Amino acid sequence: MIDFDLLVLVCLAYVALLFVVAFAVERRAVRGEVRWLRSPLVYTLSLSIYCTAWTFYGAVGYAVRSGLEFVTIYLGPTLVMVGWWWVVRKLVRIGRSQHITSIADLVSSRYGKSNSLAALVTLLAVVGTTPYIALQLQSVAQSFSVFSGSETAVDRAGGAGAFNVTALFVAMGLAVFTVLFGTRRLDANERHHGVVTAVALEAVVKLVALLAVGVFVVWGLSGGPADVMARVQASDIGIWNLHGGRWMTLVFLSAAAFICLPRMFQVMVVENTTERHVAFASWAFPLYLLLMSLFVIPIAVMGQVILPGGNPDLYVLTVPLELGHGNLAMLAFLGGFSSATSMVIVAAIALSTMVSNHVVMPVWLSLRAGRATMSGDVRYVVLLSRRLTIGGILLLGFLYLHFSGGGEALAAIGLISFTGVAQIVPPLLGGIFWRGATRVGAAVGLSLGFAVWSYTMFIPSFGDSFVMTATVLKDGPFGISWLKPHALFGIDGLDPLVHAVFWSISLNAIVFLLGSILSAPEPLERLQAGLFVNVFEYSHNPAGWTSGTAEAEDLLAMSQRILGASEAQELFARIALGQGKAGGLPDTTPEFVETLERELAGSVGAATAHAMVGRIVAGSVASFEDLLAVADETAQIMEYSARMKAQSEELERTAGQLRDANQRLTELSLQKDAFLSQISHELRTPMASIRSSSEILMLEGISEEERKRFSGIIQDETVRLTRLLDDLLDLSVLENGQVSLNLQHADLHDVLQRAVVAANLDGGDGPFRISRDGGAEHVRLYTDSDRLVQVFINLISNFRKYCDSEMPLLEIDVSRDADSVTVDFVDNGSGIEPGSQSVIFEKFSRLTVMGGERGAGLGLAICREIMTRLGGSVSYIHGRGGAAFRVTLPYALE
Amino acid sequence: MSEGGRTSPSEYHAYRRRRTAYAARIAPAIGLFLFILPVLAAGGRDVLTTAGGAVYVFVIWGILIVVSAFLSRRLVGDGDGDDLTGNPRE
Repeated sequence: MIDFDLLVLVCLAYVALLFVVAFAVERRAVRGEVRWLRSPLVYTLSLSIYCTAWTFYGAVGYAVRSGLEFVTIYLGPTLVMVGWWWVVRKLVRIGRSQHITSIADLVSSRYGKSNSLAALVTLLAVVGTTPYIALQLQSVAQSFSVFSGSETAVDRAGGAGAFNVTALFVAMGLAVFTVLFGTRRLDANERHHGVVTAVALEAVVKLVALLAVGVFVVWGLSGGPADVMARVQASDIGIWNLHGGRWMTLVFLSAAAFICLPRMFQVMVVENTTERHVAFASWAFPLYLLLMSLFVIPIAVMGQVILPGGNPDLYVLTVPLELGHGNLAMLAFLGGFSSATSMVIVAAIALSTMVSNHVVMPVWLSLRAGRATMSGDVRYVVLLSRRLTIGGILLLGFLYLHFSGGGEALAAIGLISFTGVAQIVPPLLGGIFWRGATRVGAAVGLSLGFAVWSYTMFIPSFGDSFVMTATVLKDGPFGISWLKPHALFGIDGLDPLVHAVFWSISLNAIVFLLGSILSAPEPLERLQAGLFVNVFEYSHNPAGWTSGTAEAEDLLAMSQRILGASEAQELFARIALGQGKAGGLPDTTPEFVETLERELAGSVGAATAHAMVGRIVAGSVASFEDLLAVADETAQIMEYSARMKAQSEELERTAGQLRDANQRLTELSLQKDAFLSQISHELRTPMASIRSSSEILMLEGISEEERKRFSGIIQDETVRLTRLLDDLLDLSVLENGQVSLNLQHADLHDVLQRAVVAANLDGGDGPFRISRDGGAEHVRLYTDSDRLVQVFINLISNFRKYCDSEMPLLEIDVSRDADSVTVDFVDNGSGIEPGSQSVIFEKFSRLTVMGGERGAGLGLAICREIMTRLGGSVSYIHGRGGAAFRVTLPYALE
Repeated sequence: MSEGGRTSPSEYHAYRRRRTAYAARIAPAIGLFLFILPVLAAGGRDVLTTAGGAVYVFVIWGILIVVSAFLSRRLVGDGDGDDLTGNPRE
């Protein structure tokens, strides 16, 4: 038997060694010599905090009770590490690119930095971990009590006080160590080099201790492997009582817990410095686990031979002690001590980070809202809250141990704790592999999983208590049998563990999926989803857009705010079409990103565009909301300036129109002046003739012949005046829209014929000839044919008046299209000079008359008014040799 | 891959890396299958011995470790960065 005082001394010396190692490493880390400290071996060994005292001592007890089933606890993590390329590598990459500080932080970051979700995960972690810490304290206290002679913990009626005191001292010592090395300083990456190295050292100690005991048992107590195999065959656990449901559930559970336990996440992701270490650990850590479990069954079998009535949970310690191998027992004790302390230290650090970041700080900041905060202030509060949390967690663990009484009930807490943290699996895996996962889904699923776990596993684990009485356990609450904690929905006969894991995880996952499908993510959440799910695509290109990284959806969301919704969508659709993707968003190829950047640069400037696209493409996440705000502001400014620009353009247009109008007015005014002098002349000339003729008629003694002649002159001049006044009246009526049309069916040929006859050009008198195409002219029209004849007469008369050819020839061409008919009047004269072409349709505009009667300059103006009323037009056509007019009119006037 | 039959060393390297990454993904699935196999073999009856079961589990375990070591060494390869990527676009 070893002296208890010596044991305490060795223990203190060991702790002192850990202090020295941790301190020396911290010193080196401060000096920047970190690289060699963080070897892949240290990383792998630090992962071994998975093997706590529960597994160090408990695996043997587990093997005694259930045979080979204990190995499932190691198979899950083995599969996770062998499958590192799937999950662990991704978690590590995300952890580094997003500066993740804990598993709660990861879940919260993924779902749009939701602090309520982080608080929920933190609560789950604290509830799940506290009993686990109690278990470690119990193990250490138990192992102490073995040496102090008060035998096992189950039989410690006399030594209860000493047991509690030991546990309290251990808790306090661990709190001091954790505070000293876990909260020395605030690191942006939350890395603790000293602690990790100390943990790695402890990993070596526990492996060596267990292997030493195993070798002693196999080669020292029995005759080698073959003998051990024979003994196993002959023992109580010789037949492998394989419970398929439990076997598979435990493999799943241990795999899930390996990823989700806060302390595992701390060493695996947060403390990780490079992915190469994960590659190394992918085989080295399974090897470590294999070695840890290699001798468990031999120790269990030999323990039962040597100490048939002893506590199998302490065989690792009691077997060497019983046989008088004090040093080996001491080593085994240190191994168990290492297992317990390393777990507690890392778990306390991980939990304190979560509690301070997601519970204390938000509360503190909201209490201080509105008051100025100095950076030193925050730092002090963070450190203080972490220190207090570490103390609080260890105190909670101790109190849990004290009040639950420890013992067998506590041994089951390992799996209960695993199941609790495994609830994080659906939102975690869903979050890193499925972009569609939303915060609502995660929160609802996690809450339900937490509730089901509490109801079916955690609360029943207290046994008959005030929270859940034995009656409720047996018959369900209020006698409702389908709510029995161990047989939900009437499904009976399942192993309680399988039952709890099945219901909590499956309900959690189903609700998570449904909630995600039914809810819409916020912009930040969508962005984070892309960054998490496609972490490998964007985190590997430090310069330039060398690979397709950004998500088109996020880029579209931003572009819409800058370019405007329809323009941005049009741009994206165009690029998508260019990529051969009709409909849908384009792939974010480098060309696309560059194109988009150029487009945005046109609106906000190149530097801003690059920064904005870069933020999304390269995944600098924190300020996405700020970016959206910036984009909104920019859009507002641009909208404002666009409005200003539109207004000034409008003004310019109006000014131009005014200038034109002014010029036309001036021209018209000149024309009118000219016309007034013209018309006064026109009126004066016949008036003068009429007056002089009438004066002559009034004279005495004029001959009958003369009287006839002068009356004829008066008659002619009066007719001319009347026609002039008729034209003016006609135009006035047309312009005022007072004309009433007499619509009827007519044939275009007949209309033209009437016009030609009326213009006195039928039958070829004089040199004037008209060329017509009789066949094409037969077009049925529904229009005012009298007015149309008027237009045609006018055009034909103009030909007669103005055509200056030796052999005047007028060609009348009729052509048709779908909804209108066109009649061209083209003569072979010299045409109208370009300067006059624009004014011939104006009122009172008259060209040089070649001879014959002079018009009043109203004919074409009247023609234009008539054609407008008839739904068509009349225009001058250029480049046809002589004067050419085109009349266009619809087949039928509405 | 190469289009014209000739494969450049870098293309071959990338190809080999991709294949290794696929293997690394499949390995845990095969491991899981083999670890669950005894459940199917036993079929609820007590026909397996603990000693035999232990040998089976530990042998599979050992093979997985060797395979994993082989694959991870090939995936880490001769690169010197901290990031490990099996194929350019995942």
